[in-house]
Amino acid sequence: MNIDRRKLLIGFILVDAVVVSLILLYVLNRPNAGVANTASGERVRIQLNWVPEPEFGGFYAALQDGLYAQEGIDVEIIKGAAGTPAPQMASSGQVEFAIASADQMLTLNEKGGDLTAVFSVFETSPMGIMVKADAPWTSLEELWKSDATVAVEAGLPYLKYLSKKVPDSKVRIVPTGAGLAGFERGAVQGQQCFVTAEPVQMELKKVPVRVFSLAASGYDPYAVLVVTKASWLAEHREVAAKLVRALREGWTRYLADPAKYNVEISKLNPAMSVEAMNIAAEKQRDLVAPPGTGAHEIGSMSSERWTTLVAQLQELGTISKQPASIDAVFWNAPK
Amino acid sequence: MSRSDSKRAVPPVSSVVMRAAQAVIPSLTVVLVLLAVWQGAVSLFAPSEFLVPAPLAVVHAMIQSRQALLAAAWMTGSSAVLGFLMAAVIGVTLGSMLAASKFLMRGLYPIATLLQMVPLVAIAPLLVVWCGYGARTSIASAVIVSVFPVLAATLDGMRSTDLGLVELFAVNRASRLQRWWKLELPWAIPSIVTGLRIAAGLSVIGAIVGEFVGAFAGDQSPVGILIVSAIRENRTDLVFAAVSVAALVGFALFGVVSLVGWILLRRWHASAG
Amino acid sequence: MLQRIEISQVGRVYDDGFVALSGASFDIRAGSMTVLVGPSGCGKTTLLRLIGGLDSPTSGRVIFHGAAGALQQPRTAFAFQEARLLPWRTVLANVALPLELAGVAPAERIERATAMLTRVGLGSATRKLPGQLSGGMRMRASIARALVTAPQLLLLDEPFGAVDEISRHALDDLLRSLWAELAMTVVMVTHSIVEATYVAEQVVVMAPAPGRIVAQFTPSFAHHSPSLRATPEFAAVTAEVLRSLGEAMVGEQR
Repeated sequence: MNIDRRKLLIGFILVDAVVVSLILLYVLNRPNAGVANTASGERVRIQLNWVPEPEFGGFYAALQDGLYAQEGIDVEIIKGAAGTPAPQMASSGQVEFAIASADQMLTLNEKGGDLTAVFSVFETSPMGIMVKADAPWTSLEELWKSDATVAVEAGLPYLKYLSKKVPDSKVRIVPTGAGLAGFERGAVQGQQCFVTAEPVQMELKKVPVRVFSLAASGYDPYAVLVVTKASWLAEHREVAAKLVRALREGWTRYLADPAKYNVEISKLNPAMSVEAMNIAAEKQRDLVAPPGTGAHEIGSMSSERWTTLVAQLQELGTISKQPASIDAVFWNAPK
Repeated sequence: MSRSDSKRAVPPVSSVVMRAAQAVIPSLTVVLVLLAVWQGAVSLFAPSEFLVPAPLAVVHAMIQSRQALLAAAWMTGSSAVLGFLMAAVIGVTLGSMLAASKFLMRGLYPIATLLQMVPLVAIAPLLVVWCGYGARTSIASAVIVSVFPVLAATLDGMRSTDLGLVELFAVNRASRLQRWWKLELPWAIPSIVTGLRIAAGLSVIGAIVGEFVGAFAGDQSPVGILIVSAIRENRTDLVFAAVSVAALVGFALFGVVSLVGWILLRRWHASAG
Repeated sequence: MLQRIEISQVGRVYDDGFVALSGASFDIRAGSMTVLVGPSGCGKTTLLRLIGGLDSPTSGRVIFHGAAGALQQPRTAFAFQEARLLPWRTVLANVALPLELAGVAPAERIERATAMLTRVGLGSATRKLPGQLSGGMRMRASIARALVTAPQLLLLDEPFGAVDEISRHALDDLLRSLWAELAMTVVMVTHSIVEATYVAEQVVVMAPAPGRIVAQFTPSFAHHSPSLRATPEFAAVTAEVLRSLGEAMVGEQR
């Protein structure tokens, strides 16, 4: 290599090193989620991972009734959409709290996410597979044994769970995301759903459906979790406690009279009518707070349940090893 | 290279290898340097893995998931290649038709450009409706992104046919078909090769976008499904690994097209220098 | 059987009113060598293209006379100033092109093209590509292609203009020998008076503004050999041609 080329190469490496370092510095230097004091109290942002729907009913009920303000915190609920990286935003400090699923939180933690769950909206997982009412299968396992086409979100742990449970499965998995048109016209015979959403849409379109609950088949993680960065939580436990208390009360009120709050929520999400929201709220009631749940128990999580879930996910290969301590994974605020 | 009257259509292996090496080594060096700097920066600043994976982590993921990645590369690559070949035929045919008829050109060219503007991600769900789930959607998707560059290149190449040669053919009473096959098409080949090079890379992207909405997932999933799945599982290392594999497939296709272009053109066209 | 070509008051005016050629009249005997010579804009190329049927006159007619009356355009071949060879084809394939377009079988067209290439001195270059040839060689190939169909009428438009002078002399001789051998009517356009005088049986001198014929000569030399150009005899004729052109051009000088 002659002198000129050598100089060129060295120059190139230097410039390249500087550019890449600058990019990385920018990427990593995110403003931390400090707690700024506003006129109404300490600022708290909750990033949703979907559009405003009854699954977030209690959050909005608390907002409407001024419960956050009563606790002395200024809560902003930020709408999400398909693909919103909510837990990543909490991990990188862009927001204080975010909504995530249990597997998302645990897999993110394996990559340095450092998240802790403080509230679980659903006590029983609302996820299921929807089929037309006249479909031939009487159970999820039966469906999975057939060669039906089922629309599933790629990467969800329950896929692996069902493959293990039904080893001779011939089912054909296709992506969700193209709406429910495929399901309606029969190209797709099974459709992944939240019991509060897709079945309600079908009901309103006068298409009778049945839902196979995943929880009933043995995969029942906590769902719609409020997560926050563990290091942030350690320094702001009081703020987190205030939020959780407000959420408990908010959910109690929402479950008692969802219609009252759905009017406002529907304004935030015009694509879903108040009628649809009311039906959804009814369907989710027992999943959020099974009969016998006390008002202060809404959203609380148990160590046994988390231990079971963690073991299940490790067995499925979703996480490579168990977290050091189960108690670091979740935190129930005191009453 | 000797200027003797060699009748070989295919050049000797040694010159092909040398040419490939000449093309690949400089860019390979650049890539390796970039990777080294990236690795160094990550080791130095230690960002969380979900933000930026280290190249070594990506390589590790590639090795760990090599079977899945190879199967995916094969599936996606097949869709991309089939889509590319179909796009090549359609593009050259349509391009020839538009070059032959001002009327057709005025009518169809603006529509073709308009179609080009619509983002593939928006069309993809429609493709699922029309072509069903499976490879057909990703092939169709690959065709859609790849057709226009080939069409435009063919049109351009043919319309720039040397007028003196056109007159030569007219003087010799050549039929329209003879003119197309023996003059306009060979004349347009350098331009078409350029269009095909562009289409090669695009076809892989097209196939993957099609897979995002329409592919079957299973023991063997194509690249698009691997990517979506890895994103959901927060496996950024695997996402990068899958993307790299896709890039390699695109690069390979590009390389083959370039090589074919070089073989076709090397003896008579300046661009194949 | 073509007997003569009558150029009768032929004129060509373009749509924008430009008079490329006005009222040209002369005769071309079948089998003769006619050269149209003149400066740029004198209409010589226009006239050539009208004779060849590539264009139609706006006034007058080009009549092909046979033994029993008027004929259609005879089998005509062109050689242009640029060789116009297809760069991706070998010389042989290029020369065989007219036969190929006419549907002649491969074996026959290879044979005829090879023969013609040998005749013009390119027998060893059949497998080469145009890009590998010199300018003079490309012109020879172009002429070989024009002749491969055995045309009755050969039209050349400044074919040797882009070639160096020495090669040009050789090509002029080649043209004359081909003409003698193949018994065809040849009309050539050039702006070289020396070339016109050397090559032609009939020199038609043209001048511009408007494009028209100003003089005709029929040089006849005892021997046609390369050294002819150096003789006083030749110089005299050339001088005459030049003079006639100069007189016609006087009116153009400001």
